[in-house]
Amino acid sequence: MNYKVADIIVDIEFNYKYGVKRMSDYRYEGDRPSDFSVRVTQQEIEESMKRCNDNFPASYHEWMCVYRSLCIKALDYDCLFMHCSAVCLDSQAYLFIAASGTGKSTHASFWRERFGERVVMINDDKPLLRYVDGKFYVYGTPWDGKHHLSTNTRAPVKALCILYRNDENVIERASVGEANFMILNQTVRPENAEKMEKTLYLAGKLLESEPCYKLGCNMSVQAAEVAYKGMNENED
Amino acid sequence: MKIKDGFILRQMNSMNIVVAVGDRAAEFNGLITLNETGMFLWNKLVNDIDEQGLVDAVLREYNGVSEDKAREDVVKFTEKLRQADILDE
Repeated sequence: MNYKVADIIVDIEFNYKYGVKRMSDYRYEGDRPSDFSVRVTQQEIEESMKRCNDNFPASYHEWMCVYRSLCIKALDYDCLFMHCSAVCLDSQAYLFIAASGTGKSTHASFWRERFGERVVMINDDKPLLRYVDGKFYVYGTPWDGKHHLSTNTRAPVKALCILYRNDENVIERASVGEANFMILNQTVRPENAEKMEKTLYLAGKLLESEPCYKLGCNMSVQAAEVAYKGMNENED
Repeated sequence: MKIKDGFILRQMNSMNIVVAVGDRAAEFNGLITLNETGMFLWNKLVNDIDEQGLVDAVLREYNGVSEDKAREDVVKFTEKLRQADILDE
């Protein structure tokens, strides 16, 4: 079965129905041939279950194994996986990045609360980025987190924003080191040397092309206001 | 001594970054950043070299550095690599 993810045609055969169901919005029946195919074996699924030891069913592990394989193959198409919440406001995307448990999804929910229908959730957890003609775009994918918030669309990346918890809401530019570390810790690191080099190349281009901020934020809607203002003032 | 197989050094967004690949990736999932001297020494350590060899290389590369200072830097750097289990000796 062919699917279109981040404008790439991927041929995927799932062993379990879960994956087929989750991919239903991304099915592709057009004329383009597939760019690559993804197959996950029972052995890989079992290894993933052993490694994670998290009681999720085999169907879920297949779903995640498929994505990992897809993300690594997609590097050849200037496509980079990023663990983040991608929020689109007025046709421009903001990527909120943080270690798990910091509150990416909660912060994204404040954007929806503050800006209402101006906000489109591109993907709340695992979107894909593509580097096209010197510009990064973020794409919705069906790997979209606990609350299944995603849209099958794309938007140009306006800014990246590293989140950390703080009593007060405060935003500033992230240092080169902070940005590099966070990006490399929130993407897939392929074992294959050539793919790893491509990952470093794309991550570097991302941070050279788009501004990266860091937001100290609390659990209030005001955090969204501070974040938005901080990323829209002092335009270059 | 030399750097173990399975590490790659690349420049990313104006930083020199080392990551592990292949089988090495399973045991080392961190990131190493190198300053200019660190990168110079790393590149020398890709091939087998001893401490004196590194000190001589630093003295040839950087004018006005004393041998004591060069040795101090070399020992500090190689000790860090040793602690991270990155050196074959």
